Amino acid sequence: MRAKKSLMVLGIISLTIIFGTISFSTLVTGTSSAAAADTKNLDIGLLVALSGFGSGAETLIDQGAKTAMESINEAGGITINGQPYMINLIVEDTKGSAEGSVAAANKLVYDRKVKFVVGTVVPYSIEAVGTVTEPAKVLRSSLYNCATPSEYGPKTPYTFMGNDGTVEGNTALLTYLVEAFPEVKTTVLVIPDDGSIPHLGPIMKRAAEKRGLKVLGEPVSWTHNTVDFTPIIAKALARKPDTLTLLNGWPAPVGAMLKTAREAGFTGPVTCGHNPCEDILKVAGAAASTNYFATGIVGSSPDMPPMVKKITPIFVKKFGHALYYNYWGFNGIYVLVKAIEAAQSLEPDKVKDSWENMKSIDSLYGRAPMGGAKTYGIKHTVCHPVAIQSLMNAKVKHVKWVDVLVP
Amino acid sequence: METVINTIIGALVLSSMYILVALGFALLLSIMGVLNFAHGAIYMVGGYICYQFAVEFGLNQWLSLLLSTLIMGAFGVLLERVCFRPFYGDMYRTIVMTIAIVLVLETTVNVLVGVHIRSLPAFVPGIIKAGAISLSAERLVTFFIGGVLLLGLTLFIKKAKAGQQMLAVSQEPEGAVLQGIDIFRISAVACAMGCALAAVAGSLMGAIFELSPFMGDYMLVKAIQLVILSGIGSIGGVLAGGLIVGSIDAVLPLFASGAVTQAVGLGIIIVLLLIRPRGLFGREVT
Repeated sequence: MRAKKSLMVLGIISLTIIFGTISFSTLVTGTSSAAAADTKNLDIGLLVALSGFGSGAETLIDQGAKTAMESINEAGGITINGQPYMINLIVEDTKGSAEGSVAAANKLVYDRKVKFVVGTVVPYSIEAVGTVTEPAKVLRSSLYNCATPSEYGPKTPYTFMGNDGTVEGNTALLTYLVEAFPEVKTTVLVIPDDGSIPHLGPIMKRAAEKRGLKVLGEPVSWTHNTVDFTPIIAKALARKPDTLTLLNGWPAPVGAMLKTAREAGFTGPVTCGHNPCEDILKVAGAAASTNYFATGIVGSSPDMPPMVKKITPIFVKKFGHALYYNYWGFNGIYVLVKAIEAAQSLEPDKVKDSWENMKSIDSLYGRAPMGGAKTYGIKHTVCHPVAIQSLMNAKVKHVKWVDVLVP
Repeated sequence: METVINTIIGALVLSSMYILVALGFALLLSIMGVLNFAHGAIYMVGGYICYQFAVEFGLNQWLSLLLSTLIMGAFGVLLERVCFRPFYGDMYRTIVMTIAIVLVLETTVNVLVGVHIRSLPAFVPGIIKAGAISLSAERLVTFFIGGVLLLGLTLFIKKAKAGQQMLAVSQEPEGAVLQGIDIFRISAVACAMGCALAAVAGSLMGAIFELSPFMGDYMLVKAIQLVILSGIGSIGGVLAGGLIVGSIDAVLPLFASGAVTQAVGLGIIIVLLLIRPRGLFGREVT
């Protein structure tokens, strides 16, 4: 009897605690919800390789994207139909692999329920992410593409190209090259064997020939785990080109190719989009680092657009550097946020419709026309101006801005 | 002619590096029966230590190479004592242990120094020109160092008492113990030598190519390929295997493109193994 009474008292106390806790937490939540009613969060997923292949550059993209988020939020966020929103960046590591990219995209889309995603960079990763975001109708601002239709094209209607891809960046380089080196008449295309060669090769060959540059033979290809580039470069140089056009690859392989070419006695210009000079210098070494041209921002140059001038000191203060991939990450977020703001909607379908009907959009590098309908079969490419930088005698310098409108 | 000579030099440099890495791997496998999956990570750490001394602390690069080699050698002794000895004879547990070491080393380097691009400056900068042929002095020196180390190691195994004891342990561990050989001491020496060789290779390759926390993964695969091709238990066969694998990797891209080269390279190794299932110089495993 006594035990029964004690049990009853214990039960009442337990129930009181449980209900008390629930009521209190409801009160607290209610209060905080009320406080947060003024400003809401807009979740944007960021897919980057923080480990594994490509993580050297993609950790810098992560830094740039976070800086974009902070910068937008400090300026008051964005306002959609009168409702202010703060950007909340949710970062997932793709681990530099296709399966890692799918897992990361699944987490963002199905666990975190994001409707907007920024990333990724490497073709197999872009393709892998698309298998998740496209069926889920999640709007994606891709950071790159190598012109393969499975990455970006009519079959990926929810994918936009926020940054310049292989075609845009390298077309800008070719435009600059023929202007600066009129004596250069022949080139060899060197492309990683990542599935892009059948698509990218013909597009870049046409772009080169349109500018009076003859492409010698078929593209020379290499794989991502190549250690020694001697045979690859020997094969390219055996055709006696005036210049080498390296298309794609991270700074590690591109720097190794430049070093190998110089060691083999090649002194002509070497170009590669999206592989900035400061990184190439670290890999190739001072002796080999000359007559190399890339796309990329030199933040210290006076010939920079206002936004770049504004964020460069922020990068330096936060990270101790302002590197090309930092700007890449920043622009990826910035362009997407501008598209959402222009659509005045948080519905991916409405943002998509609005974005593809825009004639131009604000980018970090200035106003950028939209293009790509003829080249990719989809008018989702943000054709922003492209900065060209040079590496001469181990010194990095900004040389020119080139406007590229991909038809 | 220029292409042929450059390719031959490239093949020799690659082969000597593969051999340096694979020898350490083969030593541990033969003497301790340890399939050391951490060997690639040790190669990577060796390169980073050399970088820290040479670039961050501004020490002489050759001295940095020596320090890196000594540190990784000492690490090898520690590895044998703490990670391998408690599981002696238990291959499965040592495999799990080596995988754990890979994770610890790669993550530590990733967290401490980051994944940003680094490359060691050239040990011997400059290009040697002979007519139309130009060769990288760095590659020639790397090949020379590799050759000297391999010669030294071969002499050590053939002539030194500890080397002979290693050979005995690798051939018949129980017999070696009955002859009064301290199997753990020999294992520690082998582990130290293996790690030191990997550190030399990591530092030299870090100068020719670049450093990354994951650079060892590829080398580990190459070391495994090479040891299987040479024949498990054959330290001498690693030399021949290294030359074959290095030459395949250096020559094939001239004739085939992209991923095809890798498939063809592996195809050649498979054919060789079909002809000699025990590897080129392998002995019967009982």
